[in-house]
Formats: sequence, C-alpha cells, structure tokens
Amino acid sequence: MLGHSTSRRSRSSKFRLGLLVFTSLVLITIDVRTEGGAIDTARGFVLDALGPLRSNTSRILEPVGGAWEAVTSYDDLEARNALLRAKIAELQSSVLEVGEIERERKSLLALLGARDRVAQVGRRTARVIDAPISNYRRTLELDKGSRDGIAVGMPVETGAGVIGRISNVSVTRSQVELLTDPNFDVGVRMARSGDDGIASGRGRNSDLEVSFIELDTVVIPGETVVTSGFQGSTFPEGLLIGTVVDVVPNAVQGTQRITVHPAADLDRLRWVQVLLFYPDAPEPVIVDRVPQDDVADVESEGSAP
Amino acid sequence: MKFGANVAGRLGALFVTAFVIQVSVVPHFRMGGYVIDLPLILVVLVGLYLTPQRGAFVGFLAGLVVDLALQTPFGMTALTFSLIGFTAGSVSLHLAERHAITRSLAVALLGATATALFAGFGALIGLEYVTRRELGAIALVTAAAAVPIALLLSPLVRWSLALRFPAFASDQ
Repeated sequence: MLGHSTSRRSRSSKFRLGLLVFTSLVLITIDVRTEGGAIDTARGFVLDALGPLRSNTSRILEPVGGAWEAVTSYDDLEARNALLRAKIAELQSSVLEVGEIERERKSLLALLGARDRVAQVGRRTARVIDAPISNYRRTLELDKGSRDGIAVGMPVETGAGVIGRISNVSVTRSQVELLTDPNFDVGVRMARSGDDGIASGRGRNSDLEVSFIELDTVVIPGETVVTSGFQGSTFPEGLLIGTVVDVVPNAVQGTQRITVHPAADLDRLRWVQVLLFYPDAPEPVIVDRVPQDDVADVESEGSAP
Repeated sequence: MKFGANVAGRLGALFVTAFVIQVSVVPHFRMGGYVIDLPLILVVLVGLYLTPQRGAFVGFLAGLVVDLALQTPFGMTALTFSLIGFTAGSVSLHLAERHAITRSLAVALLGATATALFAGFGALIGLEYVTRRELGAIALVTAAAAVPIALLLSPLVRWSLALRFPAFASDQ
C-alpha cells in the first residue's frame, strides 16, 4: 500500500516537472520566434529598473573589483602584460604602415565608387557598465538607450575599431553583443583584394574567423579587414574590424579559413561610441559625400606607373 | 514540507536579495574572468531541503526572474533551474543524514551539472554560447564557489524554510 502511494507520488511529481519543462519550452519558442513582444517589453522594464543600481554599484565597486581581479587572475595578468609588451613593440614597428593602410582603405572605397559613410555617421558616446550577470552571453551594458536615438543592430566601436552591435534597447539603457560572441556575424572586406567574406565570433578571448574567401585570393597576415556594408547590413562599410593573423587554405571547400584579431581591446572598456546608422533609410545620416577631388587623387595614384 | 505564507515570503525575499546581489555586486568579483551564479547555487541548496516537485517549482520561478535580466532566450534559465531543482529534491533524501560539508559538495556537483545543461540547451536550439574549454572553466568556477557559499547560506535557507535543527553540525 505504501509502495503504491510512493509510486503515485513519484508519477505526480514527474508529471508536474513535465508541465514546467513544457511551459519553459513554450516560453523559449515564443521568445526566439517573436521580436518586440511582451517578453522584450518586460526585459526592457527590468533593464531600466536595474540601471541606476548597476551604475552606482559599478562606480563604487570598480576599484575593489579591480583589486579582486588582480588577485584571482594573476596568471592572466602576467600573460596580458607579456602580450601588451609584445604589442607595443609590434605597434612601434607598424606605425609607419598606418598611413599606407589608411590610403589603401580610402582607395578601396573610392575605387568601388563607395561613399565614405563612416566619418559622417552620427555618434552617441556612452559609458560602459562592464558587469556581466551571466557567463553564457557576455554583453556590455551602456548607459544610453532609445531616448538617445539608439536602436537594435547599431554598430558600436571605440577609437580602435568595432566592438560589437546593439542587441537590446530599453528607454535609458542598451546592451552590446560583442563581436567575439559565437552568434555574431558581419560582412567584411579584405582591404588588399577587396574580396568579401563573413566574419564570425568564436567565443571570449578568441579571434574572429572569416569564411567565404576564395582560394585564389591573396591574403597575408597583417592585412586589414573592414566591414563591407552590403545593402541592408546594419554596419556601414569601412569600419575597422581587425587584422589577419593566420590563413589556412581549405582545398576541399575551395576557400580559405582566415583568423582575424580584433583591432579593439574588448576588455576594460569604459567609453564607447554607438554609430547612429540606419541602413534602410534612403539617405539617412550622410551630410556630405566623399569629395570628388579625393576620388580623382586616388584614381590618378592608381593609374600612376 | 508544506509552504505556508511565511515560508513562501521568506524564500521569496531570499531569492530577490540573491538576484539583486547577482546583478549589482557579483559581476565585480569574477573568478578568472567568470561570474559566480548565486541564484543557481541558492536553487540547488534550497532544493536539497525540499521534495523534487517543490524543488522544481522553486527553480522554475527563480529561473523566470533571472531570465528577465539575461540576453539568452526567455525560459532557458527556468528550464535549467527547474530540472536541477527537481534533481536536488530527488537526492535530498540521501543527504538527509549527512554533514553540511557533504551537502555543500552536492551543491557544487549539481551546480556544475546545471552549467553544462544550460550550455547543452543552447546548443540544441543552435545557440553556441561558450566553447568547451570555457564551459569547463565555468563549471569549475561554479563548483569552487558553491562550497563556501552553500556553507554560508545554509543557515539562511534553513531560516527561510523554518527548519529548526542545527546548521553547521550534521543536518538532521
């Protein structure tokens, strides 16, 4: 009798667990398949409500947190130190190349008849609250939201290059999906050849991978990679993504696997700029075109022996 | 055990406090760059004092609240927490006579399992959040943090559930 009762209780508790699992699956499906519904509204509300608390604790705890990180990540810090020293040496030797790269970028844009939108896109500077709540999807929180003109999909960069795109916006806050996120994809262009590919994130502390670059395209380590800005893309063309660090040909697929190191340092970000870029608007944010003189200069350089 | 209004209220207050600490304080004290999951540890710890179905229910509600603050699909944390709450409730009978440290080790093991579950659910719906190496590191950090946190939170959990036996000696 007792055994019968225990078995019935066990069946009942499994049935209730089944109900909870089913409800969770329904919620996941609704969230994945819909955009801007009640769930997003509720999340926006929570983001706004928690904003002041997170900003204030961030200001207070940042110094303490820094000291804590120094203690718990000492090995990481040593490795980072060594990496930074190597980077300084590398940068010193490559300062002269910067001018050439910029010329290369301009010539590419001009030769393609493209407009250099980047410099003319409106920007909104925002403070970063680098306090991730979860380990699974590392997002940055910004202290600016839809009332500042920020919308989902807008590119975010530092002076050094792209760091990601806006993935969620509430009235006063927004969240940034980093370009290292495994779900991040963006159309890119190789600066030398002008060939287009797709750059994808591969997780925290990992470089990006560019795919769809054909085998016969010459790609060399150190080459600059910029956004391609295909029609409809949420990124304008010409934003700096990073530099090529490795090229592995894949004869079977007839393409190359290109590893790209992001130009911007994604750790310890304090201030970033959100590009107020609206891809679908006919002439959205451009206040001026690339001067024809510049194009003519580039063309004459290109035709010079 | 049955949930009276007092127990439900205290348990709710405990989870809300844990959630507020998780979103405001915990992110600034990362271990090796990874965030400790305080609500998860609490769900497992509370589940170890409850029946499987109550553990699952508490996990589900806590997960829904956490889901509101995350960028992952809404319901994924609720799914993970309800399954891990159920499992914690299922093993609670086996741990009834055990010392608090054994209980904390169980929290560590179940916490690490929950991190793998969450990543697995993500992969099932085509969202790859972390690499295998990162997943190992997250599970390790969760397990390492779970032991001391479970020991510290045990008295609070027992208070919220109106359990009267001593906290740091044997549990029952």
